[in-house]
Amino acid sequence: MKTDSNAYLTFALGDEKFAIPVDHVQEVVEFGQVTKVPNAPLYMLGIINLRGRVLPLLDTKLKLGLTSTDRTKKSRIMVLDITTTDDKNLQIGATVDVAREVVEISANEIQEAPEFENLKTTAPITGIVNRQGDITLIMDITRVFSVSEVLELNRSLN
Amino acid sequence: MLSAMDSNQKRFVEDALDLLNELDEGLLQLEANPQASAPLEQVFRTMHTIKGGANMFGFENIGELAHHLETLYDLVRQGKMPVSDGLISITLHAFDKVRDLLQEKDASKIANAESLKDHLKIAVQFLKSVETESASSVSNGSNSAITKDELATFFIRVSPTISMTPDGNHPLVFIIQDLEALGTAKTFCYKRGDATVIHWDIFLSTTTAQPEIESYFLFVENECKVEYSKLLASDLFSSDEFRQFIEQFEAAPVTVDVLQEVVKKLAATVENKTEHEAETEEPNAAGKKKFNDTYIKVSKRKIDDLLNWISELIILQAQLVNATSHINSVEITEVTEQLEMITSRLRDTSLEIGLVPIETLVTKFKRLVRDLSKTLNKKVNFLSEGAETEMDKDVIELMAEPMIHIIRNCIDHGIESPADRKMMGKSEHGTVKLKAFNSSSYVNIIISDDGKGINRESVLKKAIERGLVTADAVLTEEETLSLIFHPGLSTASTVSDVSGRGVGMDVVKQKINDLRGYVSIKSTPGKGTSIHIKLPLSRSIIEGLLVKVEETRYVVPLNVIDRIDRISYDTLIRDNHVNKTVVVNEEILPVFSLRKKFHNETAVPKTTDIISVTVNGVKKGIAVDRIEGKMQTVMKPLGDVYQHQDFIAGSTILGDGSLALVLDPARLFQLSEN
Amino acid sequence: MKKTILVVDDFASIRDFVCETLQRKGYETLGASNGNEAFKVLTEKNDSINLVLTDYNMPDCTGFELLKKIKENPAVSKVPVVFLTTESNPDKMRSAKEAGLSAWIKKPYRSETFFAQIENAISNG
Repeated sequence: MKTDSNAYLTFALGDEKFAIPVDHVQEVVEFGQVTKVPNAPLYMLGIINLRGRVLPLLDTKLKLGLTSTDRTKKSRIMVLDITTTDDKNLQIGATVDVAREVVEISANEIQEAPEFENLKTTAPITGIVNRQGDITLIMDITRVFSVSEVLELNRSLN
Repeated sequence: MLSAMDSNQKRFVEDALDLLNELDEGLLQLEANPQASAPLEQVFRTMHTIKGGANMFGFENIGELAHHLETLYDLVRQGKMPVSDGLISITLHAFDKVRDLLQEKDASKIANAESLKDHLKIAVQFLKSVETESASSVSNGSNSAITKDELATFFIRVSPTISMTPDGNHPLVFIIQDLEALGTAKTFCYKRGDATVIHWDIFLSTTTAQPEIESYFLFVENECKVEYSKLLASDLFSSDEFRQFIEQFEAAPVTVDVLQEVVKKLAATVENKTEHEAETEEPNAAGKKKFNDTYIKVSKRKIDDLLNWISELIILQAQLVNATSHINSVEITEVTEQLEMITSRLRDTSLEIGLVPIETLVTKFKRLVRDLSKTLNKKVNFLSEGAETEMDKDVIELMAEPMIHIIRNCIDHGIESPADRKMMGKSEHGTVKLKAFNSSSYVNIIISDDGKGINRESVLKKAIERGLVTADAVLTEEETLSLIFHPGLSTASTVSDVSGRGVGMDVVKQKINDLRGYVSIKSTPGKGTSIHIKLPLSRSIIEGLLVKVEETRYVVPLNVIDRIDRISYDTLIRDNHVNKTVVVNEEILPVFSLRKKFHNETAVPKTTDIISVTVNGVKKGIAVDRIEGKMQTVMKPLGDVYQHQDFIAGSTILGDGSLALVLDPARLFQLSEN
Repeated sequence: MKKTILVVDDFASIRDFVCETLQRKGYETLGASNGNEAFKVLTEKNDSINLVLTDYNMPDCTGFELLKKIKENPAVSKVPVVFLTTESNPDKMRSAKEAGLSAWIKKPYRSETFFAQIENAISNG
């Protein structure tokens, strides 16, 4: 877990603002052609061609159990390189509604995330940053896309 | 207590398994030629290397065993003991045990293994029984003739017998340039007043052997005279004195005697240098010298990354050609042509990177044939041709078992007993031959025997009995023989321990199909049988039909396709609903409709193309909107995330940057059965 | 008059690529995907083919077998034959030379060597 850097990429899913450590993010790209792979769970949107690399594209909102909304001009794909909780190295694309800036968040700004009832998401949150009412939820992306979970869901569909 | 292996130990195990293969090869050669010194040296050297590594990485029990056996072979080298059947056998068995042990993942299990103790005892007893002095002195590394790559310095004088200029167009000019590229070279060109060449003098240090250097001039023999002189068996260019010495020949050519004198003097200094380098060299480097090639281990991921970039480069280059095709510029055209040539060579080279010679398999087979023929009391020779042919490393591992099965069949069911063979006028020794060669982007492997061949009537009879064909069916020779690959057909009238029930051939065919290869069988009763396997050179190269269903493109691998037809979409829906089949080529064919399964059925096309494939012996159709054409391209895996969508073997990037999904027909059909 | 080269290789894209390379240099080309087909084409069009450029390793009829066929048939034996191959075994090269091969071009090749060898083979047989 590389937590030395305090840089986080922020993005929006629906109304909520999230942040993940920049270490996990290779780049942010616009939507291009998505080729759907049949017989897969809904949140697995398909595969994309990123300059000669073939990456699976996952719908982050759907994976988190949020209702999916239509793509807009602002929708982006985060190209992630993560080591999941089951020790697998994954390179995937994950969709976001709006990609925002990279910000510095120091450790002492991060408060523990209590069980928020009004947190409309089941996302694994490791902390909250509240800057004068501007709330950012720090997400543990490695848990979101843990491969075994993906496979479980996958299997139950087949 | 489980102790996982550290990376050094893992590396040692990998290397050791390779070495054990080489050891087998050497032992088998030694068994065939007990007087030969080269296999003896190889065996000794290999055991020495295994010993060293084992001791260094915590496997002292293996080291000890290797040490004792090495001592025995040292005695042979000294002429104090002959090579005997017994010696070879105990060595083979001992290292078989080591090989088994090394498959363990737990380092402490290997280190504490009791099983080696027996072999150790045997080795020690053998040693004692040979009446010699105690084996206290084991030669150290420098005596064991570890040969480096054969680096040598040559002097070559090329005198054209027709008139040519050094900037002319005669092939000789370019041959000399090609020669210079073989190593370190300095060339002097001496011309007449009219600028024609009198002769070239080339000083060249290279690892290329002299016969190969000479072969460069083979086809211009009528137009020049070539004199060769091997100056020294090491690199003279490493000596500054030499470099300075030859500068003077810019003005006027050297005379060969002067050259020899100087070389003698310089030789002493140069040889000291290279010997010093040899002592610090790793003993491992000697192992692969046969091919005048040095090997390095590279992580597979680096290779995959490299291949990815190269594929992208090829697409880009094609786009560049497209974009500039309307521009009328000689310069641009020349550059794009060069670029095309280079990218195509890049692609060829990158494909070759994952390839290794099938030698290791050949050694396994030699061993198998030897052991089997002893067990079955048959006399069998194993011949191989083309062991240097290269194949994808993973494919070699996957094909090992199927080929072992085929060879077992050859010896068990094919080759007759020595008595029977004699009666038929054949030599008592049967032959099993493995021939391997490349053709375009495939590797061909032909395994043949000169045994009794396949009894076609018996095959046909069994097939009729099992209901695989109707009693009145008329089959060609080829069709009858290919029944052998049908699951549920066994021609072995007795189940032999050795090759099992003989139903393995269907598994063999399936494995080959999975690798997108082809297999066919030919046989002449009384003369023998041969099985021809054809496998794509690279697992990631796909040859298939590009098809479209709605907006998605798929690729159907070529090797399972029998034929294609077009029918109206209405027919498909109607018939499919009733009994899920259509009639194609007067046969009833169950059809899997990609559109129905994976896409929606609104806005359907008027006609649909049906691709007939044979998978696991069963004919089925795949219905697509339209077949767009045949293609060959690099396939990329989808990755862990899509593990469960295994009916898609991977994806490929098309010329326009879009992606096509490569189908795995066998797994595709399993979907419809759920 | 343009010279015509018969290119033989069982791999279509290599064949096409070599033909294109030759065409850009001003040669006419014909293609064949195996030795037998090549021999047939050669006997049918023997007067108009100036050179046969073939791969070595091909199934059914290797480049070497094609070479022998050509040189043993008086109607077409004068046509020069050149190998274009990754093979570099000196013994094989010698056997081929003795069988009448005009030149042996190793892959990968530099374009200058390639064209120089081909022109030389066409002019001097």
